[in-house]
Amino acid sequence: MVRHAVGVHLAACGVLVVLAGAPALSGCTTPAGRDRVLRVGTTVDEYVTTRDTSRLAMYPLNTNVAESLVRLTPDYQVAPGLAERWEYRGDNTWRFHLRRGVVFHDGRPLTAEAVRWSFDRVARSDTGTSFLREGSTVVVDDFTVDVTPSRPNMRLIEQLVHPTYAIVAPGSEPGVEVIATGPFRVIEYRRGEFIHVARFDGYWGPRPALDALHFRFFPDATSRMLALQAGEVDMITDVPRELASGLSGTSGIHVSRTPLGQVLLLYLNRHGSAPHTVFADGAVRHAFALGIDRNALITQVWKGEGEAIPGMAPPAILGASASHLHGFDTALDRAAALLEGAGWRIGGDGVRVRNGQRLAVVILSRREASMGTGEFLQAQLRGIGMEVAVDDQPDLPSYQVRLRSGEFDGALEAPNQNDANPVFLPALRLSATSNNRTSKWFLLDAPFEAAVARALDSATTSDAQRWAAEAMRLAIDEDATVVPLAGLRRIFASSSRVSGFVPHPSFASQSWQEITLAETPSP
Amino acid sequence: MRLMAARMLSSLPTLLAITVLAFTLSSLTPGDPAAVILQRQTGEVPSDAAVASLRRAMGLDDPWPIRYTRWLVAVANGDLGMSYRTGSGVAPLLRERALQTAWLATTAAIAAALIGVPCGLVAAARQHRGADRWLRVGVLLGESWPNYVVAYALIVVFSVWLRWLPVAGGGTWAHVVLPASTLTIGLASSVVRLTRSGVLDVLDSDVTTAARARGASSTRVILHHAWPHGARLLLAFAGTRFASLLGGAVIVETAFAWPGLGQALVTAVFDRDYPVIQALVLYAGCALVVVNLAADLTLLWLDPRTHVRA
Repeated sequence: MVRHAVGVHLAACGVLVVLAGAPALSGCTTPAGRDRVLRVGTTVDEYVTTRDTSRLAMYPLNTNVAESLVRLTPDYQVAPGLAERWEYRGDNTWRFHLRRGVVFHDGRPLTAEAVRWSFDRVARSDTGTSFLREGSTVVVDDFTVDVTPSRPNMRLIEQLVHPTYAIVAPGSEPGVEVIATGPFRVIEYRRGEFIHVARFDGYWGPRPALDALHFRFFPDATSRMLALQAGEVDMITDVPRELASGLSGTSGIHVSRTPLGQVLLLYLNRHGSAPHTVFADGAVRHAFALGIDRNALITQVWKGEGEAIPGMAPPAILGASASHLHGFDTALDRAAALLEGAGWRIGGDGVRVRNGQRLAVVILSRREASMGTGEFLQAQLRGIGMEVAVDDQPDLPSYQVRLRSGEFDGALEAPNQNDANPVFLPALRLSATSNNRTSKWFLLDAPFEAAVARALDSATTSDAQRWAAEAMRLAIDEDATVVPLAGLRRIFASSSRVSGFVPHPSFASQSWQEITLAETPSP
Repeated sequence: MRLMAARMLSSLPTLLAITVLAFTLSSLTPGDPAAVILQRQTGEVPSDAAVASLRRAMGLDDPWPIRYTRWLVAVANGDLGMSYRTGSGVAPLLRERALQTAWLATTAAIAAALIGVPCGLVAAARQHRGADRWLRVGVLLGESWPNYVVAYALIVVFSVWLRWLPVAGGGTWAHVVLPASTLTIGLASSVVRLTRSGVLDVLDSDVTTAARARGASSTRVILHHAWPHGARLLLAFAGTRFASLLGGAVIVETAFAWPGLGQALVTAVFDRDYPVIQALVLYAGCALVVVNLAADLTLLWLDPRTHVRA
């Protein structure tokens, strides 16, 4: 019996050894040659790869496989991409002159037909605010194409920088194989695990120094960081803000930050129904905005990885017009006076009361966007006698449901500015012309709508910036329907082998092609 | 044989209940899959018209009973549907991920048995003595440490400091060691505890006293008389634990970026990818039923008296 038991034990040991040494079930996940292969650890795989709407290798992780007609510079300006130049021809029509000598990864030349095919594909997915429809794009000749959105849209050029509008080879299926014109081409993609792209030697622009890029998806931020420390990857994206300073002190690791590209905003519900009617009163909205110490928020919650900003977008996108915005300074006395003036008196427990109603608000947020901001506001606003409850939703769909229901007083969001359209957020989130129904909670008055309309109709970028700034001024400084809390930076970390990396404020436009890798880590 | 058939038949209502649960759970989750998919494409909040149009195309506007019946009929025909996010079949995804999770779970379960059973027997044989005390401390620690703490500790030691093993990923033998070890620590601790208590139950009984009186050695008493009882107890526990591991170990798979079912389920829930959620919940439920059934049948085979008690 004893011999039998020992035999069983040994047999089981054998099975374990076989299992541990089992041949790879799905192949090796680390590229063999690593000298000129940049290994990047990034967040969870969020690619949508359905047939008509695939954004594989393009968005949100841009692997530089595909390009748009125009591109977004790190200071939020539009620069030529696959289009060398463009002009407005009147009647809501834009004409693009394509770059010559550009070829797709399969060797076919870039022609106007490819632009038509790609834009019709985008139109079929019916997303975005560019108003492109099938038939909006007309081929003029092999290298000229006209685009006429279905509704007047003078901001089209600034919107086309988004990777959604990347040009892919006619007839190709980007959900299966991405055939585009970028400096890299897709070699292998394994859902949830990695995407491997290699240099495309037929690229029309400067040849990348790297042979390949290998992006690995790490859903867990701590593991991602440990992978960098273990030398398993050369670079990581999205370093958690609370860990960035600690990582900065680690030998052989360099931490880099983007310019401001993400904004932390509070939208106040002006048109809610009871009990969410507190912010219908402008005095209460202003008091709320004045009761928050933004610098303390940035230091304590966001670990100093941001800046107080006065607008709804990174200041760079508004150009010189950004100076027209003031934003809110902390002024507790003024806040208290405003509330007193509105009839809200301090109650027994320190929370203000008016006609038996407590000054209590619900702040709706998404856990990954708030990072404790809600709790910070809770503590801060207690100082002016306002009670804050935080409704932290675990994910985007749950947040959307709550937002649509209107059962909130404030909505905390942290959008990224991924195109060069300065009026993008005011038009989408606050305007009566928005095609999104949640804007109904935040609608403003006629002057705001007029400013948005002028910004959308402006023929020049500087005019659009001026009117966008005016719309923001009305929404923020005048009306306090929007309370900007901070502009935030995305944080990257890399080993000392990596050089030439320029962090882009819009991750969707991040360029990897200038990066070089040293043979061995520099001291 | 009749009893086995009866057990199998009695599992059918459970399986049907699982299909209802799998379908209802995903449908009741707040959020609109069409809105999520559209927003994932551009990062912009989609228009209401676009959401409504996609909902129609996805068949989400049909009443619940119609959608459930359609899904159930398709599943009965082996069609698990198409993922909303990838547009490809759910069945290949399930196969691929289930294989990875099974590899991880089986490795962890075997390692836990190899470590836990001998340690449990030693602890029982040396009750209240040095080895037993140390093992009990080990069991307490092993069962109380959260998986993510163990995971990070193992990564720091074996990947960052020693650089012996990869931090995360899947597909090679080296990748399985750390996640399997993380699972093994908790699992082995439970095995030690159950083996020890199962064996001790019998060591105090008349059967073992009689065996000792007949001159049987302590080792023989433990292995021949006490261990079979402990094994039965362990088998009942192992069935449930192993089945739940087959359904995916979310925390461990996430920490180690292991491409298994747990990670796939989390992603599908965030995306409201109903067909994937339904398939994964259904698989996990079926795994639980099948493994428990197998455990029950093994117990019957080992101890026919269970039949009489049943």
